[in-house]
Amino acid sequence: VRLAAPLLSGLLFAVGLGVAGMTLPENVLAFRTRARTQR
Amino acid sequence: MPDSTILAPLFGGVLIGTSALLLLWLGGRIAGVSGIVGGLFAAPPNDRGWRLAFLAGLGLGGAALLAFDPAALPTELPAPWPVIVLGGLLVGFGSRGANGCTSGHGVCGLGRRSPRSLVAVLVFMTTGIFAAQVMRPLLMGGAS
Repeated sequence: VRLAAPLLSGLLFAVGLGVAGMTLPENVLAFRTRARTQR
Repeated sequence: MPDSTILAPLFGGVLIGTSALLLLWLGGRIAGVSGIVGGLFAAPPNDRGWRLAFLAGLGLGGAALLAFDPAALPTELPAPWPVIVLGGLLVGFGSRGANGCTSGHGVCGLGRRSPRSLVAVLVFMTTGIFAAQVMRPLLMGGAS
């Protein structure tokens, strides 16, 4: 637990940042472009 | 990934908050990333393991996200690299001077109702919004 907790915490932190960052204008644009090309 | 400007930050924020809560509950530590990194060089050797584990988790989380959805992370620099280096230096000086960064003051400090964190967040958010409004049009040709 001594190292597992900070490891899991860091992992969640990075995924949270990445998911929240999806709404940055350039990322939303990239997502929409990709979704359009996949359709 | 949800194609929504509300769901993504909501879900991401819940994950970040859960991460901070987990570290505080199970480890009794504050999830302030700049402090965790800074402590690697200043803390005694027996206080470095959890810091390295947290930073390894950060790297693993980024890698997992990249593997799951490559578009989730930017692949190109949003600005010329000297500007990014300068920005990083300014953030580094600022966060060490304020004794914390967006995670330490913004996530954990506000969550703990710390007055000095509230002051720090108000100052760096105001300055950041102003700098973004001035710099982004200059760097990205008017896009915002």
